[in-house]
Amino acid sequence: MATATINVNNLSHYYQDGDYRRYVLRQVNCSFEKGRFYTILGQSGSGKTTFMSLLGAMDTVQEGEIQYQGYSHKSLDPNSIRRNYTGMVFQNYNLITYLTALENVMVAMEVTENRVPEDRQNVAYNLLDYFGLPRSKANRLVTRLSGGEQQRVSIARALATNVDVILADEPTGNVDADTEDEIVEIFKALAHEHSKCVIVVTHSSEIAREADVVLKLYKGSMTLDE
Amino acid sequence: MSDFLNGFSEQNYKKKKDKILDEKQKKREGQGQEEEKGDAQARARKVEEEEENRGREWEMEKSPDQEHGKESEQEEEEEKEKEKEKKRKKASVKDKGSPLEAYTEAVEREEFSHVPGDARDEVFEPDPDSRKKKLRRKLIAIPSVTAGVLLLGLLLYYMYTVEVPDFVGEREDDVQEWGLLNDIYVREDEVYELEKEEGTVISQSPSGGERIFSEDEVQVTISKGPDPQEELELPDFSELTPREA
Repeated sequence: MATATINVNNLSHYYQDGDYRRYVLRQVNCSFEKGRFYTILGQSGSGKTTFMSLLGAMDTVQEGEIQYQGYSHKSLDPNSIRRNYTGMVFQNYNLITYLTALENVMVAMEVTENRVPEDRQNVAYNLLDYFGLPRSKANRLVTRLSGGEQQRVSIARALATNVDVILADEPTGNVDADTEDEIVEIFKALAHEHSKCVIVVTHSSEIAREADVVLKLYKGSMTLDE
Repeated sequence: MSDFLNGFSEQNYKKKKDKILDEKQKKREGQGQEEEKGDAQARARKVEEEEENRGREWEMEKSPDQEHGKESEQEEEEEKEKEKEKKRKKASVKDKGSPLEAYTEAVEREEFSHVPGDARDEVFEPDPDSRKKKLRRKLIAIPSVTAGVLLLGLLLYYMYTVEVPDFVGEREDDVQEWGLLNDIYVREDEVYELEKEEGTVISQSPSGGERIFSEDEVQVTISKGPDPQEELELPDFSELTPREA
């Protein structure tokens, strides 16, 4: 049994709606381990993205606790969680548009407090090459790349901080079916060959079929389907 | 932290890339062989189909009876239906394995009955702290709005008013100059005053230190010196020494 990288204990989250609290997550308990590929399935508005935002420290935890490698979120600075514990991949890439693919990856290396090799530029080039972007494309502005290529850059950027957890929110929402397969293969390789913990929120049943663990969110509650 | 990035340093990555390229080549070779196999199978199928068609044509030519033709059509339709059913069965078996299908089935079966809330996807609960929050909001809002209004009033008062200096004993010219500079009308009344020098201020209204709005007026009383009509009582010089006189 591998040690849990992320532990979620009694996590609840609501949005204030006048005199009422609209709960999107209710008493969620689960854990995520290294070397496994997780998908979170659920209908629109079931709380998938909220759950992802909480894991990625992009929203404040209201009730419950999230532990990153044994450390509670209460004892960690949100910036530190974002820089040193989790890497995020978004549906609309969220790359810095006036930088090249290489620069986007290198910026991530600059901000982290994790150990990053000294020859950062070469590592960034190789990382992009590994995800199918040779040097000629790595030196292009990200706006000059296709959707699939931009998503690869964003995956490389998420990994450039040397984190163990990759969080992906609808990563294949803007790409075609073939690119979706390639991205799923990348996630699978990251989990199984590089022992990363990959958590993907999706509507796609194709991705869910490939996952090791499928978590289902319904009315804010989570059930496990291994 | 993991040593993931070390695998992408210049030295380590070369080996990795060679491996990846080798694997890709192997895959391609494997696919090529499969394609060749696939082509051979497709050709064989075509030949079989052609032979079947020929056989049917030959049968049709051999038995031009219409009833027999009808029977064969019925048989073909039955076969087609059977094939369709088989396909449906296969599809249902495939979908059973899909987590999404299982999930939608679970939703339909209402497996999540333990979840509180109504039939909608959203779970609403009255906020237990809403009264406290409202009270807190009021407690903060009322004093802060009052303080804000007061501050604004004070600011405006100081912006549009001028402090009147104490002019008593000052020269008339100085008062007029101050009036011009501060946009204040200075109204002068002149009186004879024996003890004050001519052209100096004896009294003023409003008094020094008060604030007035610009374009208001200040009233000052200016001395005209001694009154030429005034009769003064002279002392008895006979009783005084020349020096005292």
